[in-house]
Amino acid sequence: MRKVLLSMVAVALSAPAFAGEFNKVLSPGDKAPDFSGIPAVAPNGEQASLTLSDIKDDVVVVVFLANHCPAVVAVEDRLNEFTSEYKDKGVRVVGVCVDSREGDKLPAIKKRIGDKNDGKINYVYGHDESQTIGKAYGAVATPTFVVLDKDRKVAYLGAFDDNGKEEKVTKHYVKDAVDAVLAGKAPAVAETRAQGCGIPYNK
Amino acid sequence: MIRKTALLTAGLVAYLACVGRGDEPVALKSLTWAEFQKHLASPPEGAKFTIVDAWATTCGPCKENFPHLVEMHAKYAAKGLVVVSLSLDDVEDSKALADAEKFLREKRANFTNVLLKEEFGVGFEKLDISAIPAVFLYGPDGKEVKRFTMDDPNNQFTYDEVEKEVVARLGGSK
Repeated sequence: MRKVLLSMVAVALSAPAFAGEFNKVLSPGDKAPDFSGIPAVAPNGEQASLTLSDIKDDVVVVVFLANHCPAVVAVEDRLNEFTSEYKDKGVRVVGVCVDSREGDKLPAIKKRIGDKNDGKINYVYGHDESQTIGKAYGAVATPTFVVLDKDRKVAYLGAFDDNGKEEKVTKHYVKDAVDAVLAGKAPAVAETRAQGCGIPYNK
Repeated sequence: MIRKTALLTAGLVAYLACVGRGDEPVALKSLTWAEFQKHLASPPEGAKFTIVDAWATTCGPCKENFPHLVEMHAKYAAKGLVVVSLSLDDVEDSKALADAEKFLREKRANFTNVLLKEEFGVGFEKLDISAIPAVFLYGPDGKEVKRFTMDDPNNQFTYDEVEKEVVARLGGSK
């Protein structure tokens, strides 16, 4: 009995209570959950799809988005700048939405990308009706960012930076994590709280 | 005479609509996190526990589910349930605050409606959540006894679960 108790203590000490500090499913270092054939729209408005194994870039940044969400709108310009700045450095940004409301689905995504006034979105943006990718990545709020390294392990999980208001940002978590991974190092900050609009999962 | 009665009735109806069940008028009360903690720790006499619903005017699912909170107030306030809504709206966004107050009035949220007076986003950290809506139960000492969140994609709460818990804690049936 004592032995059993001791081994339980050992397990408790070695395994964290949750997956990540904030993420209930994934932690830094985990193998990236695979995804394939998620219907998507390319920046030029053409039909596309999201398949992890098709991406050959050194770094992949999976971003959970939702058209309706003010926190997503607030980060969009920064995300577009980031995507442009890093696209020739071997970094691929993948946008995906798992929200079920009409305004967040693929036709709305296509309209948003195609809208001339808003035509700055420069990453492929998909919608997973089944919500599988969201559950697999433990995404519960938009925007949530997941940085994957060359081995497609999770290098960073969480928020883009430390403030929803650009002028107040002091820490650039995603950029710093990507820079570290590109330099062959582990990011100094591997997980932060992704907060914003909740993602309701269908029961 | 009839006209007078009708006027009186209309006046009474308007008065009742304003004050609801004799609770405070529907308005946002700005509290810092520390003030909010104090508020939770000093509930009115007879309070068994306090239910707090964290929401924001930009949160669709929060607004869709808000009537559950109003209903629980109507059903369980007399049995010792104190109801508090906690807006995490941006205190610097006057339009959001106006929208929030309008929404609360429309929903007849005749209970304490708090606006968290902290920098935008701090509420999530303080409550230790990633997403709203989120519901918390606090004992009369202000200590959290139960939470319901959206934070685990495989175990997101429903307001049905919240009400069941409330009923169980009040020691009665639904």
